[in-house]
Amino acid sequence: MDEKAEKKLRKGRAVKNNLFAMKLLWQICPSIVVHKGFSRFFGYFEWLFYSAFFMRYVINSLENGDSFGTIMVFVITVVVVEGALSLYDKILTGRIYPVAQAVVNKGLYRKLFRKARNVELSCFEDSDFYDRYTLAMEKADDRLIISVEAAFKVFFGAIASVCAFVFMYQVDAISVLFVLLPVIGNFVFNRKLSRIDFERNKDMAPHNRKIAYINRVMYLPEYAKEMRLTGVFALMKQQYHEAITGVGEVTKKYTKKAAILHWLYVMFTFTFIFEGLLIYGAYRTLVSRTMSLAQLSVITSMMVSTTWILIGFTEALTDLFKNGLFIEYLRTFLEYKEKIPEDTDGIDPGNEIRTIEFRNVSFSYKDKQVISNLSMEFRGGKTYALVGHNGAGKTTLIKLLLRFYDPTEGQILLNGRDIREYNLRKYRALFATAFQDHRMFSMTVAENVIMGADIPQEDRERSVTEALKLAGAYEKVMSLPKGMQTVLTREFDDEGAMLSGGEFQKIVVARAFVRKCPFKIFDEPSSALDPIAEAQLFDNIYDSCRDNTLVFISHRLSSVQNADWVYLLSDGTVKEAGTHGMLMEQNGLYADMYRKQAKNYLAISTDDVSGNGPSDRVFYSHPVEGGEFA
Amino acid sequence: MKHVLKNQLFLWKLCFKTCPGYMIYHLYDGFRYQGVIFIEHVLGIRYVLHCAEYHEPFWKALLVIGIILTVNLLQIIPDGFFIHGWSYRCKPKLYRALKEQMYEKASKIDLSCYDDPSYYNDFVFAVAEAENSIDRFLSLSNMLVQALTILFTTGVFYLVTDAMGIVFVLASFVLRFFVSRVLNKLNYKVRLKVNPLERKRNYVSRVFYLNDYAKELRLHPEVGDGLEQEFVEADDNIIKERKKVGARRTILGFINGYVVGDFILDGLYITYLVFQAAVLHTIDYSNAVVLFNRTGSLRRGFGNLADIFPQAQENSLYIDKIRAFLAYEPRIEQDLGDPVPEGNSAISLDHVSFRYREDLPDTLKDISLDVRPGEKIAIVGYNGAGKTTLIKLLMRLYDPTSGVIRYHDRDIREYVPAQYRRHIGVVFQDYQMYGATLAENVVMNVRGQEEDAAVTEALINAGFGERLATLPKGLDTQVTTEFDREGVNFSGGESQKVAISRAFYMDADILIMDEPSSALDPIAEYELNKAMKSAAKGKTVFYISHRLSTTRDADRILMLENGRIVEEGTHQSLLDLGGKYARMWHAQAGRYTA
Repeated sequence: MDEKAEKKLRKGRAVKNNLFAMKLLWQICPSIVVHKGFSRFFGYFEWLFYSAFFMRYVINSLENGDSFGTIMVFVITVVVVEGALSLYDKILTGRIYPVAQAVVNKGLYRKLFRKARNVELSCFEDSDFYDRYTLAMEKADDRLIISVEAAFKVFFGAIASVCAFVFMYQVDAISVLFVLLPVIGNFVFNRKLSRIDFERNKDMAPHNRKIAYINRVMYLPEYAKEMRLTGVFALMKQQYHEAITGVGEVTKKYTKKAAILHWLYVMFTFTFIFEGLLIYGAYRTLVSRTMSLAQLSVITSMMVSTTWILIGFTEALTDLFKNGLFIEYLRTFLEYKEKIPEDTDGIDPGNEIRTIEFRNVSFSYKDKQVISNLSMEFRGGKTYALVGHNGAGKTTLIKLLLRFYDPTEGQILLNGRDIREYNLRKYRALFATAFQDHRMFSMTVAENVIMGADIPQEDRERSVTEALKLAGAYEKVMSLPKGMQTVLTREFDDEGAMLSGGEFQKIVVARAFVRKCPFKIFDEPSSALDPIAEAQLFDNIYDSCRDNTLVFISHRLSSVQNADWVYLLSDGTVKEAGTHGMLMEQNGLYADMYRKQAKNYLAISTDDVSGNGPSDRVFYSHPVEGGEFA
Repeated sequence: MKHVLKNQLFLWKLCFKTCPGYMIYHLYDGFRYQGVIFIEHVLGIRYVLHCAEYHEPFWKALLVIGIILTVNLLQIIPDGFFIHGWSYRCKPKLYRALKEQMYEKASKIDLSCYDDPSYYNDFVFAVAEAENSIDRFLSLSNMLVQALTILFTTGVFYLVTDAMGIVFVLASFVLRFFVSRVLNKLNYKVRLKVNPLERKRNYVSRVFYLNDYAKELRLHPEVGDGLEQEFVEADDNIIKERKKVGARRTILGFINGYVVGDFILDGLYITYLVFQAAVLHTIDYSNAVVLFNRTGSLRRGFGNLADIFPQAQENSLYIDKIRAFLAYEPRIEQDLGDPVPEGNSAISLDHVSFRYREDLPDTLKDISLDVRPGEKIAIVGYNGAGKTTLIKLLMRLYDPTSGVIRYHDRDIREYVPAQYRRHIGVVFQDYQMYGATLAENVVMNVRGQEEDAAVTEALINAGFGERLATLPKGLDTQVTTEFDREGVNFSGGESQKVAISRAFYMDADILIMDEPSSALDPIAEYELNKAMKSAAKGKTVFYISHRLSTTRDADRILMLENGRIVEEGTHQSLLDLGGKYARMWHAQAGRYTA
């Protein structure tokens, strides 16, 4: 929580934000808004009634010598009304709130999910946006309700405070002056204390973050091996000690000031009004004899409840500002204007890819140019390999192609039309992609392969079987207790299967196989596979993509030879392009890379590797237009 | 019951040993808080009302209030220091006292514990709950002192003034106790039904908000639709469950809150008081007012006392897990054993078999192997053949199920594990980067300045030299942005180089490399292999790789299949053999030579 944001909020957005929260909750579940309002009202009403009226009436009656029956009529009336209010309260907590909470959860999170699914991918990669967004998501349903509740608390708390003042004034005008003491205590000293708390928390945050980090390192299994093999445990222990010392240092800085403020706060808020009023009351009854016993007892109970009403009011006010920040994040997220909305409508791209062209495409990510003035072409039905150093921009290029990002400059054209003009969902459905960073969902293996693809029910098993076989995962999957119907991850199912990295990779690859898309993309599909599996996989990729356009990224240059066309990327642009044979003749970067890798397999000196490619495969000659690839 | 107490006592001892003064004040605080309330709200008010009722002289009231004021002025002085200083400093220390024990244990338990999901879940749970269990213990002990103070002070006051009041409060308390039990049982039943639904809800939430899944959901929007549907269903089911019990909950809540609560205390008791004061004149007004006002606090005192036991019981469950974890005796004791002789020696495996769990098949079967000092061994084979497991046994992260591994001609189980492991430098596939300086990430220990030259050399040998030159803070660069916004997140390839430099820095006799080049591009891989060759001179090396070009120069190649060594020899001899290795080699190399 940075100071600037907080200050800005204090300056007026707080009210607007709370109205926003109220409106939002009203849209999702109007009944909870109404009930929260009513119950807050009744709560204060009861409180005031008991401290200001009930005791006064009873003691007055006793003093006036009213009959027991008269007093009892009053008491019974009160008890019955209280019973009714209590019943209402129990209906709220027993039935209405629990149900409403789930309704709010459903309504609010659906809105949030919709938005989260619709914003462009880069939002997730922008840490500022992402931090705020996770803050907005965390327990959003509870916090939205609390925000609205806090608003009611402030509203009715203010009214109740005024009423309390009026009642005290009625009993005794001067006693109201004593109420100034808790007002000072709350609004002056407690405010300052909160300020100190805030500052201290801010100073402690880095240390606490460190402690949390160490905690994670100590229990996550991925660190366990190194913890045993190296001295890194001593390092973590030292950091832990440093963090604890750091916390102590921070505390020291604030202790004295906070202790003094605390003393003042407690004295003003509780002690002075209390002892003061008692002495004042005793003086009025005993010395000047201008106050009755009933009035005195009312004043003693009024001062307690007035003080607590005031404290409740200030707390609600603080909550209001605290929630303000949460609502601010929630609001900015919900009102965020997507740059590439996932539901972008546009022309239907059809189901045929004739050409995809990158025309002078540049792309910057966080002010760093990742792709610069890149031009390339993919033709329908052909096979392409993307090669290059780590960080040359290969994966970014795929993301641009899939329209996860839009180019900063230049255009990407599908069949001659800018891809921004197409219906995004339909456009993306043209591609089947296997990325190297993969995620498994807590579903069956079959569902994890199909991933919602449009496959008729009766063909599913056959399709999944085929895809798993092509990816080389079929045997492993069938060795699981329930075969393809085994649930992956232990999220819900303690019997769920945990597979190794290589096996997960194969399932991701199977996802790309199962889809009947005209364009298939594989991003380093074999990095974790053994040589036999790798060789088999590449054969399968080539075979099964005969009718499709195929693009793959690979560090294994042997697998690249069979591609119709190779693009070598370096520094975010195409440095070399051609068939394997052409590039070897060109004797540039690609040839150097290839030779270095091939050298050890051939056990001959680098210069002898000609690498003419497999002779059994017919090469398409790829037309080079206008020296574009030069 | 005894067990519950014992567990709390365990925490008390731990806390008291760490911060004795703080713990004593912490108990005193509960007494102080309720004591002051009693003095002010009971004694103070009663005395003033009493003075008013019986027209005592004003100075008497003044004197009593003056004394109360003075007590208040003084008692609150240490309170500020306690809340705003002492607690902030001591609580982390209390947490540390417990957590450091757990961390120490965590670094020593057998690695196999991590493979056992039920053990691991308990462990994670224990670590996660360590701080909370102390917090709960602190609040429980404070609550107990508070409740006892209320019962003692207010209880005595009632006994002295009008003992019948206690009957009302007790009746309400006992009846509530029974109704609460029924209500709690009902709530627990709902909880059981709702919990899995909430788990589902949370899972879907996580999928939508973690950036890990964002790409996947954009590629396969249908999966998102399905998950959203499941989320809605989970909520609908929660609504259904809650509606089902709504009426019963309302009625029980009403009985609990009103019938046996407010009705008895605000209705019956007030009637009783009024009757006593107005008809029988056995109670004076000042006492009636105070008695009535204090029913609430007496009720809270009883209530708190009643709550303490179930809460202590719950806390005890958490403490059980923590203590069970701390009591775990690792099979491989880190610090016990003989010292390892200086210098390198042969390593031999004698009929070694291994399985991860009793009910699983062998991962390694009857492996026998003699490795000369300085020999370069390559281990190749299919995914899941047992290569990494073999390495883990060599490191003594696990002990063989049967068979013996020898180093310096003695069973490695006889050595101090920590010391034995220092003879081995290892680079795993799944190495980690730590939120510490670059130098510390290489040294992997607390670092002294004198090591800088060696660290730099190790980094350069691992091919990190160029990148190091671009870092303005050099070796002091903070790695990861975990808690330093200025920190650097290295790319996969760069991190791998740092991990490799760790092994170089150790200057161990034995070097183990588990797929060190899998994330590297061909040029980087080539350079790494060159660096490896020079850094590994004179050392025994085990090298696992799927890239057979990097292993062909090994002195000996072991081909593993299904946990057995199926072929063994030099590259050439294995090619001549024409077996599985040859097939693998041709699968990979054939594409280059074709």
